[in-house]
Amino acid sequence: MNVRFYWAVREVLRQKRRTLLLFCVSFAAMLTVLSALTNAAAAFWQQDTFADSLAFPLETILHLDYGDMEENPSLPHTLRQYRAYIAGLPGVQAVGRFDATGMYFAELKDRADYQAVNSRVLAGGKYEDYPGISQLLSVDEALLPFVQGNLTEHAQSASGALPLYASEVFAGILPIGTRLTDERTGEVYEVMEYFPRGSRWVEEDDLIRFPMVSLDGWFIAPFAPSADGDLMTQLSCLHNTYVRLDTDVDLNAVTQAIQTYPAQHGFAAKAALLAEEFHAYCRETGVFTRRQTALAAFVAGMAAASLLSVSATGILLKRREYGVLLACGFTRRDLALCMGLELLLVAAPAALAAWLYKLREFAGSDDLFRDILLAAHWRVSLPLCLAAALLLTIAAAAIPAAMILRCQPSQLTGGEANGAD
Amino acid sequence: MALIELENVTKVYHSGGTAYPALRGVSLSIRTGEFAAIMGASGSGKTILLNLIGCMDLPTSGIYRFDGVDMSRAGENQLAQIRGRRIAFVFQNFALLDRYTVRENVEVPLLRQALPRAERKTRAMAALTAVGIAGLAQKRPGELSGGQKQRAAIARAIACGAEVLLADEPTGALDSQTGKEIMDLFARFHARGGTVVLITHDRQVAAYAKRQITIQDGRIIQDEMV
Repeated sequence: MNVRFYWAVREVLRQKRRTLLLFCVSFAAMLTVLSALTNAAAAFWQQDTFADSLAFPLETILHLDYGDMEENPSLPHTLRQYRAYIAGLPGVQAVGRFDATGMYFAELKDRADYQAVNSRVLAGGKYEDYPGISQLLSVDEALLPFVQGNLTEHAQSASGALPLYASEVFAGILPIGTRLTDERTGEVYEVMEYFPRGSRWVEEDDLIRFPMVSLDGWFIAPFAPSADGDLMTQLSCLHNTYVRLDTDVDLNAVTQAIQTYPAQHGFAAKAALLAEEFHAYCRETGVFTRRQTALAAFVAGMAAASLLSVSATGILLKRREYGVLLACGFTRRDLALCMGLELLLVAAPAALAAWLYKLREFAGSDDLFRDILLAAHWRVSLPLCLAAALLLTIAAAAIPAAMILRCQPSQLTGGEANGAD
Repeated sequence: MALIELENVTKVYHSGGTAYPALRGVSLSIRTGEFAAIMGASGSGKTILLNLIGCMDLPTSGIYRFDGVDMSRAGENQLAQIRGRRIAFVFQNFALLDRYTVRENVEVPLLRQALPRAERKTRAMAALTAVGIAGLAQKRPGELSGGQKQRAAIARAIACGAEVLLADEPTGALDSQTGKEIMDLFARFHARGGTVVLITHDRQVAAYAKRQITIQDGRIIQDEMV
């Protein structure tokens, strides 16, 4: 074994209190550094995930933002006419909505085999206690490319029932052609095909800021004709309405038309390019990331200062000892490396322990951002945390090592010599 | 040929812009197998001279040759090798590492020689046996008397196979009887062909040496065989 490493290990083991103190300082510092780094990295991760998830260029999608809408029976009709108006504007390809709900299929809600499979899907979620429920994503064909699940269009069933796509999770218990009835509306659906495991969908409350949602255990279907007249469904879709544009559209004209129509019909709505909303999010993320990075750097700096003071004190106390080692054939470079290794042997395990602690915390949480936090923690925070441990060590060992490197061996053994004579 | 050879060596320390000459043109030659005592008043420069001989410091000017090699031009590794293999120090206050056992202390210079653990242990125990404290191998320095500590320090010096033993007041912290026992160990090392250079104020200790060198104000003023 390398003599420097051997000596460093012995010193770490022999100075248990000092080792424990250094470990605790490093562990506490790395916990904070890792939280800040993972949060910062997760924000970027989310940004990248969203940018990669859509099948359209962000510059060709407008997001409708309705103002306060009066909830009256004519609202569904008003909104339907508004969407039809937008769809007819030059340069507009289509207008689409989506709505994710929990509902019951009369044929499934009491079936034991369905409940058994569904229970596994719903475990830990808001529907955990409702194994008979079905999670349905109603989506207009225009927005199907939002789904990562190989669906591009709604098929027509021979029976005239609404097409229903089931997660592959249900392939064993729901054969193609199974007909299911919406218990509330009476609409009949027919299972047309399965979409694969791992399919995902944008989060309905905020598709940019929130991570994508797994569609394992879900159903996908077009809106039922009755939904167009259903106030609840229309309200639910208010903030999930998007306009697909041609690439050569006159954006100003379309935007102005979209905003003028509501004013003439007694309500308010705006349209913003998804690209603009995304850039706004990126700016927010940038500020957040800079703050988190500054926090991480500050805490790392404080930790380095603590380690430096502990190591410098230790080295001053061990000055005579280093003199003895030099007298016994060690070089000053050996000593400097021993000091660095001693710190690294404590700081690196402390960093890893802190990383594992956070990993366990993220893995056990039911946070919406759990998967993104875990991904960022693995792919970004782990290498950064090891690099931080190395940098902390170098920063904390550099000054004491320089002190030693400047001294002649006799200056270190001075306390042991017979005065300065 | 001289094993240790100094030619017009000076050592000057600087403090607050003032130069303090500690050695002023020292020339000295010590052959293999000699037993020399360096004597002088406090502040005369004898410890500094011993440090230069032991490659623990470098001269400001002049030439120091060890076994014919100019140490002023030697690199850090070469100096460390000489310190760890050919020259060994015995300090007045023993300079043992408190956290380590006596045997581990004796093994320290052997670590740098990259010897296998078993051989290190064998050589350390042989050295401890030679100085009569093999039974204290697992004790810590804090559990030993002054004489036992100095025996451990001598064991550390001889375990590495050094041919030169440098000692700075090796009996200064010991009673006269223990001091005599320690000096007997130096005499035995010398009798086996080793070179010994020690610093002492004590005439009785100096009487063990065959050569007495007196230093005053950084200059050798007397160098005689006895």
